[in-house]
Amino acid sequence: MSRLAAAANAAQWIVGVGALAAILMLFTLDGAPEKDEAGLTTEISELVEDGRGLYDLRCASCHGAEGQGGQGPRLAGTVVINYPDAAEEIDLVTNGRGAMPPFALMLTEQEVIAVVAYTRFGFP
Amino acid sequence: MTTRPAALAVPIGAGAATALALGFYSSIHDPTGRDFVLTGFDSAASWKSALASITVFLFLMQVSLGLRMTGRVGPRRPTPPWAPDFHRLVGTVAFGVSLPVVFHCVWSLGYQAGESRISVHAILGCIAYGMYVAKVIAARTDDRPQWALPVAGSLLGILMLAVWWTSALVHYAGTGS
Repeated sequence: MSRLAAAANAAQWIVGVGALAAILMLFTLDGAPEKDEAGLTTEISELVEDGRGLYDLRCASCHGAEGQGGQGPRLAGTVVINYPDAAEEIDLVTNGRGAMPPFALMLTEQEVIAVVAYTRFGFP
Repeated sequence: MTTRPAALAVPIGAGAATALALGFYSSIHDPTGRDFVLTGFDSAASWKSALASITVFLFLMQVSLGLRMTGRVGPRRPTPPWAPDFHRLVGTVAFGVSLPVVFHCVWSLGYQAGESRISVHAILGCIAYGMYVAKVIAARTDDRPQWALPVAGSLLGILMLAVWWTSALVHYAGTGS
C-alpha cells in the first residue's frame, strides 16, 4: 500500500471517529439553558423574583403595583419598547433622568438589574 | 461487472435518511446559542467562513480530480497512479474540515425559518451532507452505474458551493474581508 493510500485510510478513520463524536455530542452536550413556562431562563426567573420585592418597595408608589403607571409613566409592556437595550434602562434607574430619581445610593448594582428584569419580564 | 441502477437504492436511501435526520434534529433541537471561538478568529462567523471556504475549495478540487480520473475533463492521457488515493484523501479532509462548521450550525443555531437565505442555506446544507453520505456509500457499491459517482460528485460540489455562497460569501461581503 502506498503512503498516500495509508494516509487516506488513516484520514478516513480519524474523520469517521470525529463524525461519530460530533453525532454523540449533539445528543449529550448541555443544550440551551433551561427555561420556565414563560420562556425565561432560570437565571432571569430568579432575577425577576428578586426584583419583584424591590419594585414593590421602591418603584410601585410611582409606577403602580402592576406597572400601570401613576405619578410616573406606565412601565408594563412599554419598557422593552422604550428601552430595547436593558443597559439603557439600568443606566436610567441607576442615575435617574428628569423626574426619575437616581437609585444608585438606594440599590446595589445587582438589585438594579433585578428591578430592571422585573419591569421587563415580571408584570402580569 | 454488470451494473444496475437499483444498486443505488441503498446509497440514495442512506443519503436521504441523513439529510432528513439532520433537518429533523435541527428543527426540533432547542438552539443553544453558544458560540465557541477558535484561536485566531474574532467570531464564530469568521472561523466558520474560513473553514467553509477551505471545505469548498477541497471539494471542488476533488470533483475536478474525479472528473479528470473518469476522463470527462482534461487531457486524454491516464491520470497518475496516486490520483485515486489523493482524490479520496482530499474528500475526506474536506469532510473533516466541515464537521466543526456543521456542528455549530446544527447545535448552536438550529434551523431558523425567519430569513429566506438562512432557510435555503440550512436546507441545502442538509441535502449536501446527505449527498456526501450517498456518494461515499455509492463508491463502495461495486455494481453501481458508471455515471453514478461523477453525477453524485458534481452535485455535491455544486451543493457545497451553494451552501458556502449562502453563508461564508455573505459574511465576507458583509465584513468586507
